Formats: sequence, C-alpha cells, structure tokens
Amino acid sequence: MLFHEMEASSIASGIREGEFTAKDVVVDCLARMRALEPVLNALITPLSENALAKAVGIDAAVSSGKDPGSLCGVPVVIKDNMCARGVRTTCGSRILGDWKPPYDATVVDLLEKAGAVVIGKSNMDEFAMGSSTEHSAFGPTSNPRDTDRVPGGSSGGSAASVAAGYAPIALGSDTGGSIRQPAAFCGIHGLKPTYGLVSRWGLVAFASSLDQIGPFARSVSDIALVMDTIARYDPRDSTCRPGDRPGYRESIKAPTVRGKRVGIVREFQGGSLDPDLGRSIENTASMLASSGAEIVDVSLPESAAYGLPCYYIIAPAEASSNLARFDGVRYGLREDAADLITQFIRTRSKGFGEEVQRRILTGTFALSSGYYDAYYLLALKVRRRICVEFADAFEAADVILMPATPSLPFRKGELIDDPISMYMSDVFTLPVNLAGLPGMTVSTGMNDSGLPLSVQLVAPRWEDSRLLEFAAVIEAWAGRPGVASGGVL
Amino acid sequence: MAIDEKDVLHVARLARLDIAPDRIEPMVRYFQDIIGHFRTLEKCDTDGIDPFEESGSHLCPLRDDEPKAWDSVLEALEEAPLREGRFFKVPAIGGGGDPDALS
Repeated sequence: MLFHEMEASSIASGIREGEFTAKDVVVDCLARMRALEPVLNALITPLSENALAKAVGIDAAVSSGKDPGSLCGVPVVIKDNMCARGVRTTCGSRILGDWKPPYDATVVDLLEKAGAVVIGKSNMDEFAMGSSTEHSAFGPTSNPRDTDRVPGGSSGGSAASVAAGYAPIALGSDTGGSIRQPAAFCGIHGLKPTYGLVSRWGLVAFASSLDQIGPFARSVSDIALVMDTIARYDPRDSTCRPGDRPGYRESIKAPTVRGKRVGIVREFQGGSLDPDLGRSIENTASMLASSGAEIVDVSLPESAAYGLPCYYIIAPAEASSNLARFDGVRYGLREDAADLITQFIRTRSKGFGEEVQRRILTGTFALSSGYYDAYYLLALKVRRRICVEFADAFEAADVILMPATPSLPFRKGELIDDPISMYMSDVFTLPVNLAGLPGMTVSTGMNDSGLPLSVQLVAPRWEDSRLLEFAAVIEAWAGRPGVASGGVL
Repeated sequence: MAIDEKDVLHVARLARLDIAPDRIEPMVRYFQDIIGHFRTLEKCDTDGIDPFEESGSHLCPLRDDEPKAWDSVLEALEEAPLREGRFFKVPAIGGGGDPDALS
C-alpha cells in the first residue's frame, strides 16, 4: 500500500480499525524520505528511530483497545523553529549549534498527544527570514515539483516534505507568507490561521506581532484535522485568544458558497502578476459564481502600495529585539573573547547568516534614536490603516480571493543576490499578517509546464472555518494535489 | 536621507555585529535601497491615527498570577556553552581575560 499518498484522516482510521499498523505507515514514509532526501534536503534532522519507536508504541496501544487520538500513527514534519524536547532545534542557523530544548512547543505537545508521529524537523530560511529556503545554514531545499526551482520559504522544508510524500501533514510558521508562499510553490494547501488562534509557545520568535503557526497538507480535510488538534487556548502565550474554537472538520462537512460574496482585489490583478496565476484567480472566481457565490470588486490600495515597506520596518524591528538573546551565553554557539561585548559581537557575527544580519541591522536602524518616529512609528500607523482597509473590504465581501504569489516558483539562485526582489515574493501575503487575518493558499492544479497554480483566500479574524469551507469547494473543483516525484521516483 | 558607511557601522555596533570589510559597501547600498522603499510610507495619510489602538475583539488577556515551580533549571543550564554550578559563566563586561580564570 502506498501510505505516503494517503490522507492523514485515512491513515488514522486505518490504523485504528486494524487495517494496517502505524509501523507499516512510518516505514513507508521513511523509505520515501530516504529515497528523496539526497535530492530535496527538506529535513535538517530526520527522526527515523524516534518515529519507529513511537509507531510501535501506538500499535501496542491500539492492540490493547486504546484510541491514541485523531492523528493515530500519522507521520508529521515540524519546522525546525518549533521546540521538541531533547531534539536539536536549529532555526536553520549556525548560532543555535546543537541546542536541545528542555520542553515541547505547545503545538508539538498537542500533535503528539493526538497520536501523531514526528518523523523530522524541516529545513527553513534562517530564523524564518526568506522566501526560498536558500538562506539556511544546512543548504537549500529543492522543490519536489521541479528540483531546479526553490520550494519557497521560509517553511520550504515543511512544504516540500508534504508535496513529496514524507508525511501527509506538516507544521510551518508564517510571519509574512512563510506558509502560504511555499504551499503555492510546492502545489499543496497551507493555512496561516488568525493571529492568536494557535499558541506560539515554543516557537522561536521572529516577529512576535506577526508570527503564527499553521498546517500544510495535500487535502483541505487534513488542514481541518490539524486545526482541530492545534487550535487551542494556551495561557502560556499571552496573545493566544481564550475560549473555544469551532469544529473545523465540521465546517467542511457540507461546504457551500451559495449566497456568499467573494471579493476580487482590483489592485492585485494584472501588473506584474504571472498570467497563469491571474487566470487561476479568474477561473476560480467563475467556478464560485457558477456555484452560487456573488463576485464583487474590493479595493486595497494602501495594502498594495504600503504593505511591503510597512512590513519590512516592523518585522525586522521586532526581529532585532527578539534575536538579541542569541549572544553565546545561554545556548548554542559561543566565540570566546576577553570581554563580554566582544564575545557577543564575535558570536553573533559568526553565528548569523547574511540575510539575518541584514534584517537585524535594518530593524536596529528603524528603532534607533532619530529614526524611530520617522520609520517605526510611521509603519505602526500605516499598519493601522491596512487593518481598517481590510475591515472595510469585509463589509462588502465574506471572503477575499487574491493571488498567493506574484510568480510561479523561481529557479534556485535567481534572486539570492537581490534581496529586495526576493522580498517582493511576499507582496500578496504580508498585508494579511499585518492585519492579523487568516489566509490560506489553495492548490488549483498545474500549468502547461507542470508548475503549481494556486489562489489565496482571506477572511475576517476568527473566520478560519469560512476559509476552509471555500477551500473545500475549490478543491472539489480543482482536485486534490497529488504527491510529487521529487525528480527521482 | 543619505546613508553612508559611518551610519551602517554605527548601527552594526548597536546590534552587536561586525561587518566584514568587503560587506560594508554592499550593506550601504542595501540600506540606501530599502530606505528608499520605507520613504514611500510618507505618502500615506496617517494624521490622527493611534498606532497602538487595538482593533476590537483581540485584546491580550492576562493569565492568573499564580506562582509555578520551574523545575528544569539544571536541564536548561546543560545547554549553556560555559557554566559554573547554577550559573551561566561569562567574561567580565569590561574585559578581564580568560573566562575560565574568573570565579
């Protein structure tokens, strides 16, 4: 049986009902991983032995009549900026060395308590800063749909793992598009939940007012299954919203868009948008209209004009503060010196890669005396304008339909020496983070060259289930994304 | 505004980073480019905007102020590059030679 092509929900029910074992599933997924990993480099730390031991434990629990949970025996990949107790956590950086956290991130704990089997920690742009997974101290990841191309970033290793069939589901983090852009590039689905819906406790912080953890999967129902597991109030994250969450799988049982209003963003059509991605929006809108939705125009001129510079002040400013903790004292790399300040400078200069250093410097500049009001405070005000602009758009539309990325996956090395062009990859995703909204990349198939097409759906805060309902309708029309060959199999 | 080498080196000092000589000029150019993008924000009408206004339903909740035991101090210390007993060990702020010589 080709377990690596199955959905998480089918794997869990098959194991629970005794049709096959968790060990069968994990062995198949690990074989897939071993065959493709020399080409893809999607994982920083494979966890084969731990995964097999966990699978054997799950099989024993099932044999003795216990139900290990909704993710019973399901292989899962975790981005390497989420802590797993006793497992090396690198954030794609040299500066953390072989640091092994003494605790689990809340999301890792929730997945494991639901019976999931973590098979590896995935490659990523260093500290989640990048859009191609080329800025990793552990080498670049290749796109399993076309190995000459990047998988997107920063959660490129998680997206590539799911597209290649290492696991049906993975977790990523999204600060400005780091789930939605790699999902688009790898031809799978990816959800950035509403800010505050999923606990960030145990996620190594990049920009704390923007970071959010979310799932990748090859089916909408698996995205809903992961959300039902990880979307929980956690008092350890002060920005996590208290209260119950809706049932996400429940919201896609009988999905309909009839009578709903779908907003198309005038400013995001045409221009430099790849024509195939523009057609993907048009075709999806036509299908939704023929399914009973009303298509309306909405306008987001300030998000279009100011989203990118606003983000590239706020995110680096927060990063410069969050990454001040990496100084060689408490964990990771340490470059010795005779005095403390020189030790800080040597450790940080050796440990951080070039892109991370650029962003720390930019953020430090924006927060420094004489420039705080001119840049950081101004960006915070513009952010408020962007929030209000989205709220106004949602007066006219229940969901916004827009591109996830301006281009199809680009070739490796194409933008690596042009950081500002690389930043443009996230032009459609980062306004959604600035406004704290849920956004989802939904795969809409492939173009004539076999490269992935997609759309992005955006909803008001806390309306993540509405996104899933729309995504389920789109998936029923466009088809579920299949497993990629990874250039080998 | 024109950013020059002196400004970039000043920011690097604040950020506790050392820029290699061959990276200074590219970094100055990067700063000039990115600040050009930042300045587009000056066109946005932000009069009367409170940058810290919370947008409605999502206020940061405070958890109950209850004492909790943190029992993994030694476990956390195990990850430190250099430690002594229950402490992280570092060189003196103003210098003082080999940290191993300090106690």
